[in-house]
Amino acid sequence: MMAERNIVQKKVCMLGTFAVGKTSLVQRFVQSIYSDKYHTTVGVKIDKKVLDVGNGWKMMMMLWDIEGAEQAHDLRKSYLRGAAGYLLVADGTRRDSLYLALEIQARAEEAVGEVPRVFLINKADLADEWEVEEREVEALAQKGWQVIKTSAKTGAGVEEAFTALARKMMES
Amino acid sequence: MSDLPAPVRDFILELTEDMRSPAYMLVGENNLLTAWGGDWGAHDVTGLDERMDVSEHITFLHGLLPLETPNVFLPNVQTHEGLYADVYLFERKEGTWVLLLDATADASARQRMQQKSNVLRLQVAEIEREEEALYEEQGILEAKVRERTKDLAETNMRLKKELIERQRIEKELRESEARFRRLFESNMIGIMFWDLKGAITAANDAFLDTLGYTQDDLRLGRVHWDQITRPGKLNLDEKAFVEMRETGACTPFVREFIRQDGKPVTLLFGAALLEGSQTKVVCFTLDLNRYK
Repeated sequence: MMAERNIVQKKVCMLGTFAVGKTSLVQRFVQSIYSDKYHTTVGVKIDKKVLDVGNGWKMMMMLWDIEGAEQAHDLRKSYLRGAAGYLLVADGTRRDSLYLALEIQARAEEAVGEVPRVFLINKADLADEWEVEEREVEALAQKGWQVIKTSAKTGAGVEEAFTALARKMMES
Repeated sequence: MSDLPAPVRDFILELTEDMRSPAYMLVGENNLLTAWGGDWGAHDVTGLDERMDVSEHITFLHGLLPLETPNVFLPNVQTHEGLYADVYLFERKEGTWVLLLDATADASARQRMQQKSNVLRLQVAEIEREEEALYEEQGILEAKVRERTKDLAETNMRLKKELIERQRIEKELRESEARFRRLFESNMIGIMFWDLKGAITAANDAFLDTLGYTQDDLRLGRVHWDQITRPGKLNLDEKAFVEMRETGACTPFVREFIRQDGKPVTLLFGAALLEGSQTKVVCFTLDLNRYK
């Protein structure tokens, strides 16, 4: 039962406006599957996955896939209670989703304080259609964000994103 | 609720029990389960056991216990694929109560509405992007049309200027031709056109009369340089040709011509190359004997 003693549980929230790919990222990460069909999330769907976080430690990540907020104040703070970190997700093909994500992040910080977080810009497979420009990504990085471009469709950057957040949570 | 009569309160309770499958648990210190009841099966929660740590067993409770506020409401928590519950947590002196009420019908209806709304929003956003791209393209096309219109206007202006200039030149040419024709037809002096091969292509009556020819003779090719000039004077002609090639015209000089009847006639002769030609010549002749 040595393994059970070396496992930590962490609650992680997926935040962002609607249709940016939060559910698809979780599905890709947890089940290694992807569907092109858009399915709106209502309320919250919780998944979990165990990650190896090094030094003999494992992390049981409780993934709270929270419904997309149309506006920042739509985000229900009660969902965020007890979150050890969050992934902020924007859609690279919709510039407004990036700025709305930042507003949502401000509201999230009111609920959980400064906890580890990573900024994901999803739909990297549609790079030709991106409205988000490289200078905007660089601006986020200059503000201290770890920014990872992901594609739930191809899996690019997905494992890296969740692992990066897990490491941040282990360090905090 | 306190002023509700007992039958109403009982009805609400029955309705809730029938429609929303209530399930509850009481959580004590260290998140340990102390009591539970209701329809947990309806929420796909199984394996509850006394003194178990519920925050580890029930995923959505992790991180929430102990409560930091008197109560917490989590609407539409998906407890299983297709199953949703409204989750209420509230603090009482005996511990933290967790209450689940089925919300599947409400969540499903909301999901359908939200799905339509979000798809519509995405379509609107796509249309807006396409419109923006069209406006941008329209702007580029309009700029091209403006540039092309400007080019055409400039070309049109240039053509108008060229047309005016051409009309002016044509007018001058007509006037010049009229003046020359007047001189040619006045027969004050003899005028003829000839090429250096010897063919006389045109001549006025004054020239032809001096040499005893007519316009009919000219049309029939009977008038030729070799016939109307006397051999032996080539040195003067050669000098005149050189001067014409260098300056375009030769200084008038007196030379002898041969009339049709074979008699010589001395004429003042001058010639000039036609503009742009090295072989075609216009000449004048003046019969000096008339003025003696």
